[in-house]
Amino acid sequence: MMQPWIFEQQVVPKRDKMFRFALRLMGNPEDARDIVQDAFLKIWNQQKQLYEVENMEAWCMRIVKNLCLDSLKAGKVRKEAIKSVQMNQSDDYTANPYQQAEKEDNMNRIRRLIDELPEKFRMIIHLRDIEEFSYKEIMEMMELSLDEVKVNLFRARKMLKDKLIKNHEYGLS
Amino acid sequence: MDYREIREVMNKYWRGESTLEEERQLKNFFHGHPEVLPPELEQVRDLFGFFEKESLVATDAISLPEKGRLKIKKPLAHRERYLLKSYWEYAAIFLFLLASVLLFNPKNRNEKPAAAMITDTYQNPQQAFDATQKALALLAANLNKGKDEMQKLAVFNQAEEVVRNGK
Repeated sequence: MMQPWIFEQQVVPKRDKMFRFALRLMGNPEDARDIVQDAFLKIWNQQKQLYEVENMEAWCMRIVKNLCLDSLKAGKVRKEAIKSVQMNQSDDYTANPYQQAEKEDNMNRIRRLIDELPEKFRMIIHLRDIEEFSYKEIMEMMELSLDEVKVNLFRARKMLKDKLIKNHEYGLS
Repeated sequence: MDYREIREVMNKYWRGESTLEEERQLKNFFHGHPEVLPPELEQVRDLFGFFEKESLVATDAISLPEKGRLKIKKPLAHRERYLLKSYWEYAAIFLFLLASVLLFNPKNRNEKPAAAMITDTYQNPQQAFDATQKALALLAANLNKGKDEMQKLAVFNQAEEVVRNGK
């Protein structure tokens, strides 16, 4: 039987990573929170499997991914902007209001470019470049082979690079 | 790291060949160099800034599953399991005893009392003898009835056998 302290020590600390991943896929904080709540319940209900799990973090993220994809497939997505969560995260207190606004615009531009990537590329960029997971962990989370992870990461970065260059060329920044 | 090294790592990054350590170096580089960089690096500064910033997004709005909901799936303790098992055993024993009482109670059985079984049909022995004789004669008369027809059917069996052997 899963003891509450095991859940609190091994699953709850992954909460923010799970939330960020859900946010990347769902696009709004409310749905992302719902997904993480559902993931917690699912993990609790699969407590017998818990002892067979080698990498708890990868397992939790995989559950989040599957819940997000199911939810997206079912069309259960709120049409709210992702912006509200990140706007209060500004950490550059030395910049003046103009610089802060400019920086925020740049962040939103990059976010938009990443959001335009295909779902799989978005996931892999998030897991590698934001969460800094190893290839092996990404393999487990995305249920892909090592080669598939490498190929998808290469293609995702290439597409992102092309978008960045195009964005700069047309002065859209 | 100088610009040349950073460019090399950047190229590895775009090819998907950089290590996690090298990718962290890139983040640190862009974070630690607020001055204007060469155009090809300045172009990606925001990208790495975005990665760094996104990794700090947190939520405290997610509550843990309620204790009550968690307890729904909680497996039974050993003592509870033992008691539950005992209840089933007691119930089975009770049902067995109830079924035994209902089945073997003479009041519930369809058997007629012994007295009813030995009641005679005829009071006069001669009449009983005649009735028995008549019944046996009727039986004897009908016993061999239809035997001839059955013998005719045997011809078909013989014919079938001949056909089979002929093959």
